[in-house]
Amino acid sequence: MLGDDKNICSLCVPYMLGECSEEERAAFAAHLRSCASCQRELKDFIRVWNALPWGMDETEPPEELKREVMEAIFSDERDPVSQQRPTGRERRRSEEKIPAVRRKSLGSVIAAAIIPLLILSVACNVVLIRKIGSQRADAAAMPSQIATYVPLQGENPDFESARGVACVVRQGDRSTLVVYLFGLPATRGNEAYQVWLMRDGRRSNAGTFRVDDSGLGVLTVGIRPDERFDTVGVTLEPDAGGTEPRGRKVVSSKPS
Amino acid sequence: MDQISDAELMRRILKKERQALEQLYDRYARLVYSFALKSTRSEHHAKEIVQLVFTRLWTTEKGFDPLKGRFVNWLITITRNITIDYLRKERRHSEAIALDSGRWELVSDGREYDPSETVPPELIKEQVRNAYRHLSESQAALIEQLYWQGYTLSEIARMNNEPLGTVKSRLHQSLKILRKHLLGEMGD
Repeated sequence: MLGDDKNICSLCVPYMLGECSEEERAAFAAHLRSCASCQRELKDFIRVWNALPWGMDETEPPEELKREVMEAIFSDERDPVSQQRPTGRERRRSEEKIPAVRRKSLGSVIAAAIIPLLILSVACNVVLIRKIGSQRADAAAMPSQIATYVPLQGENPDFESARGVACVVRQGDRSTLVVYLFGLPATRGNEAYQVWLMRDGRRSNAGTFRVDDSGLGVLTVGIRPDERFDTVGVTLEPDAGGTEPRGRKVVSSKPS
Repeated sequence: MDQISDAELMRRILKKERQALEQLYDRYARLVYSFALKSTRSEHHAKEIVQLVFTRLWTTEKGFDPLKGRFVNWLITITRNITIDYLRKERRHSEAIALDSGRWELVSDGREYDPSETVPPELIKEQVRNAYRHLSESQAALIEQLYWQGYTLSEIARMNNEPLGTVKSRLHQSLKILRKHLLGEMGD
């Protein structure tokens, strides 16, 4: 399969991207030692690849972001509960997990944790998310509370069984938007559900999620504590990359 | 204050000096945010990625090795890894190829590959943009999907309903065009 040189030379780009099999990788690495043309091409392509980000437009981050980032990182340092936790290496490893845990919110692990909590909170409007916080000990020290809660209903006969809630969960000075839906058709291919927040006629993209045969969809995303919205809408989009709705409306909240 | 090198700030961060992290934030938050915004096209996501990147800098155990190149390129590699990981989780591609850390280390593997070592950033920006203009629409779209959206070649082939070989050869052509217009002018 990798018999002639021409075939091996064509592996240069997949090799650079790490997109070849172990066999191909080993064959190309061996070939590279003796092929000056591939050595030069690989070196050039890596330089080109590394130059790509330098063409982007730069945008100033929101001013309050620094405070938010630093508080999130250093809240752990101030937290007296941390004294009861393992220190040094283990503790650092648990901090390392913070982002992963937050991002896993789209995944089934957090979905499984959040669904009963949401149901509980809808029923009692009580403090919640302690369980999620327990994956991050410092977060557990501060109770979370639902600040805003809106029901979401099917917008269109294709999605009449879709129901759910959108709520803003506040914990200390951090706010998280949680959208939980059930009865959704599974996404196919690149399709993604996309959540939109509307305020004063302006629409912003809050993120996307995919749904499997369970029909459950969860999105959680950090938002600014002062962020307000009039309505929440969810559309089914052909892919997750849109900045404007292109697909069908799935559910929305009634303007409050 | 600003005379302190990035590498020195990273050393202080390893010693858990908060001030050093704040200084690095002041220097590079704009870059990280802009990168994440271009990739995710969402302010919400970009802010989360800034949080993830600076948390990573604070919690890294290995630190930054100045012998491997400039700090800014190391930071871009971290930012891209985190951004792509983020996008992939978002897309929840069950069949997604796990990010192989070796893969990206290869791309940031030493000074000789560093495009900005000798050329001022403003000039590189102009050169990269100029080089982009020579790409066809489908070539530019491919770079966008591959570099910024973090799709693999196989995923792109599937999405476009094209043979993998076609996508590979389009990428090869695109890189050759970019090379011609970038490295030619960079004066190697």
